[in-house]
Amino acid sequence: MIDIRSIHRQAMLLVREANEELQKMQVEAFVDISKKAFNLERDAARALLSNWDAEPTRSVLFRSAATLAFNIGEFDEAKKLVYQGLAGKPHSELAVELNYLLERINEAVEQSYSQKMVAENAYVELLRDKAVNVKLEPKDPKYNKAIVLDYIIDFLKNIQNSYANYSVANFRKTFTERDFPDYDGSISTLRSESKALAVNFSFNSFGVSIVADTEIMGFNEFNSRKFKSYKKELFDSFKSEVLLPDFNSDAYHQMIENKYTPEERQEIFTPIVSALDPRSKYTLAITDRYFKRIVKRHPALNKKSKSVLKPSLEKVAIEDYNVMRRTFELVSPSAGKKQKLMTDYLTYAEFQSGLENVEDGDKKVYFINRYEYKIVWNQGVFTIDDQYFDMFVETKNFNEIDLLFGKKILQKYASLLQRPENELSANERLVLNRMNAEMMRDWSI
Amino acid sequence: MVTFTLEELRESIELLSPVQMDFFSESCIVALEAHNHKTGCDLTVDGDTITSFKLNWSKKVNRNGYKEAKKVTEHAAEAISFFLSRQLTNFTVLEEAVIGTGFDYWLGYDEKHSNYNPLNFMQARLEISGISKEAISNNIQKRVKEKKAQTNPTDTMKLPAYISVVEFASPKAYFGIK
Repeated sequence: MIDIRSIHRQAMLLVREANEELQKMQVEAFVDISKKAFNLERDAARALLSNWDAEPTRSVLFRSAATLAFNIGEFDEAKKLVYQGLAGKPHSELAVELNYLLERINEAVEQSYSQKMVAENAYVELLRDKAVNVKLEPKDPKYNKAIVLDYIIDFLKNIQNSYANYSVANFRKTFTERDFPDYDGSISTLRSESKALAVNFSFNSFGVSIVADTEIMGFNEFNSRKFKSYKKELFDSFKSEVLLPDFNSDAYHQMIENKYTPEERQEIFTPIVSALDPRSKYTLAITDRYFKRIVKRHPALNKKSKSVLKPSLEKVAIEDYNVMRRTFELVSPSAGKKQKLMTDYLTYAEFQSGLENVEDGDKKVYFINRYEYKIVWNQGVFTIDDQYFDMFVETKNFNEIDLLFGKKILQKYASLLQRPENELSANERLVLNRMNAEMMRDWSI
Repeated sequence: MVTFTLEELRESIELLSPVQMDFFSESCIVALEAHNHKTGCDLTVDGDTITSFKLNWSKKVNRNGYKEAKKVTEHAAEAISFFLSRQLTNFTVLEEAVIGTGFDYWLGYDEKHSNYNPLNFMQARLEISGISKEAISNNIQKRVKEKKAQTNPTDTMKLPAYISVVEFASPKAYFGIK
C-alpha cells in the first residue's frame, strides 16, 4: 500500500517551493516545480478514488491535485479531479471550494488561457489569499441590490488614496534621511508604487478583493533589510488599522490618536470616512473570499470617530501645504454678471492636462496628437501617475508640473533609445514602442 | 497541573520541521517576556474545557531576530495552540494548509493513536489567532465570535474545526470547537 500521507507531504513541500518562485515572478520554475507536485498529489488522491468514507482527506487531496493541474494548464485533468472530488462525500466547505475551482477552470477553458495566463492567474490567486474582501450594498432600494457605478468608483479611488497616504505616513515614521539620502525622491517612488490592487470582483451588489503586492515595491531602488521588513508588514498593518478595525471603539481611537498626528489622520482616513458616514449611500461589509458570507459589518461612524479620523481642517495646523478651495460661479457672459454659488474645501482634486511638445536642452519632441493625462492634487501635492509611459512625478508647485512631466518623458525616451534593445526589460521595450508611436524627435541616434 | 516546556515543542510535532518549531517556541518566549512573564507562569484556558497549564522555559532568546511584534504574537500563538491541540483533543498538528483558504493547519491522529487511519489522516481544521494585549476592540471573545461567524449555520455537513485564540499579557487562551 502506498504511503499517501508521505506522498502528500512531499507534494506540499514542492508547492511551497513553487509559490516562492511565483512570488519572484519566476514563472518557468513555478510551472516546473508545480508539475512535480501535481504528479505526486494526483497519485495520493487517486489512491483514495473509491474510498468514499475517507473524508475530509479524500476531497482535500482531490482539491489540491486539481488546483495544481489548473496551475500548470492541465485543464481537462483539473476538471476531472474536481468531479472526482465532488463525487465523494465532501464536507460543505470543501464542496464550495471545489465548485469555485471548477468555475475558474471553466473560465480558463472558455477563454483559451495560455500557460502564461494560468501562471499569472496563480499569482493573482496567491494575492487573493492575502486580500480583504469588501462588499458594498446600496442603502436605497431604488435599484434593488444593483449599486450605482459612481459609488464604486468613489470607494475604490478612496481606498487607493488612503493606502498611498498610509504608506507614505508610515515611511516617514520609520525612516529618516540617514536611511535614504534622496529622501524626497524615495517618498515619491514609494507613493507611485503604493498601489492597491483589485484581485477579484463579485456583482451581487458589489464585492471586491483588495490587496497590495508589496514584494515588488521599491524592488529596484531599496534593498535594505529595514525597508524589506517595512514593506512586508505594510499591507497587513493597513488592513488592521484602516480596513478592518472597529472604527467606533474608544480603544481604537486612543491607538490611532497615539500613533498618528492630526495631519496624518487627515491624510490616511479622510478618503474612507465618506464611505462610513451615516449619510453614505452604501454600507460596507467584510466577507469571505467568495463574497457569500458576511464576516463583519462596518457600522456608520459616530461623531467622535469622525472627529478622530478626520480632524477638521481648521484644527489641523497645516504648515507646509495650501488648502484647495473650489468655487462654483454662474456666469452670464452677455450681461457680464457673475453669481457665486458656493465654495468648498477639498482634500482631493483631479484636473485634465496635456502636452503637445517638450524641450529639454538641445532636444525636443513633438507629440503626434496632444498627449492628455490627469493631475491629482492630494494633501498639498500635485502628482501625475502615468501608466502609459510608466512615469510618476510629484511637486507642490502646480505651475511646474507639466514641464517637469514633459522633461522626464523626454529624458526617459532619450535614455531608452541609447540602450541596446536586448538590455531592455519587457516593460521598457513596451514603453519605448509607445514613445516611438506617439512622438517625433528632433535628434538622431 | 500539566506543564508545557516551550523548548520541547520541536519534539512533540513530528511532521513540522524542528527549526520551524524552535522559531515558534522562541517567538513564544519573546511574547511572554515582553509582558514580564517568567518561566513557571500559568496559562488559563477557556472554551470547551476550562483548565490551566504551567509554561516553562529556560532558553535566553536573542531578540534581534524577533522585532516584528505582530509576527512574534502570531507565531507565539501557534506554539501555544499546537500544545493545546495535543492536550485538549485527540489530534496533533499535521501540516500547514498550503492550498485552500480560511484556516491555518490540518489536525489528525498521531500515527501511534488507535484511531489513526492512513487513508484518512486529516480530521479537522485548526484556526489560530494571537493577541498581544487585550483591548475593548480587540479581545478574545471578539476574535472567537468573528471566527465563528465565518461558518454558515445552515451547513449540514460542517468540517470539524477548532479555534484557538491566545492572549499574552495575561496569558490566557480560548480553545474550542467551532
